[in-house]
Amino acid sequence: MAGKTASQHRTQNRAKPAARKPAAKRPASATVTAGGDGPATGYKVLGTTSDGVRIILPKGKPKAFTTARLRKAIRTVIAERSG
Amino acid sequence: MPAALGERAVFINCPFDAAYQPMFEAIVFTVQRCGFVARCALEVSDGGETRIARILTLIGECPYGIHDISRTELDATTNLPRFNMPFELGLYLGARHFGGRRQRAKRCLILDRERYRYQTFLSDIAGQDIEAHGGDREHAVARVRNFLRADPDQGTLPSGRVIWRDLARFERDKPAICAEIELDAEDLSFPDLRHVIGLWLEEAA
Repeated sequence: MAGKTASQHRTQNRAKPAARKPAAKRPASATVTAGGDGPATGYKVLGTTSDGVRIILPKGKPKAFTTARLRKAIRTVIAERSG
Repeated sequence: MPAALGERAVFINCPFDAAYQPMFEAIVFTVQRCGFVARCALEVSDGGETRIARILTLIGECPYGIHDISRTELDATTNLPRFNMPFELGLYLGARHFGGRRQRAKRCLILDRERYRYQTFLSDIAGQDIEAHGGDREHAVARVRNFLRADPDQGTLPSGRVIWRDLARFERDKPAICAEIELDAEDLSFPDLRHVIGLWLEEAA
């Protein structure tokens, strides 16, 4: 049997591709668009509650505060309440 | 039935006065706690497009509707009744009747103080899903939760008791949260209220 060519050796020695990773979890900022015969409207997944319910909001920012400021305020109040 | 995340919008048709505000907040909170999006005419501004056109767009975008027709009293100042709730209920039922496939899949819950009281002032809606809350917020939370739970594609939802407990915690925290961001807790706009509830749920529930 004839010896393997250099190209065949390279192919044989190439490391096997890593196993396919499972699909990444949808990031909290993902948006979903409604389809069908209604006007398209985007929604944003804010996060998930401890019992697995996804909290959804329409796209768009609050008018009277920033999300970061509100989040900080909520964390402060919850921390104070927890003692 | 609508199952996609983007089709979890719930049109809330109810009075928007101060007396109804606690009930309104309980309904909005329940809708969001169940993983749906609360929407209502309060997000409609009067600039540009006519108000009715925007309400029609809103109704078209919402596969679910919650209509509280309990406010039948005459306005104390004008001595006239408010017709907006029955009118928007009619638009919603009309969309379901005359619309395309997606509109025909709409579901709606009609709330009143007493279950059969509507027969004396809006008898044409007989045969719809009509429930009584008796003016009681805890009952309204349970009715709204059960309505959203009835969707065959809906997964597990917290019980009405859990939602009621979470609402009490939220209402205890809300004044302090609003103070932190220098807002009047009693005067939040609807989009801002929705954000406060949403982020609180994410952090605390």
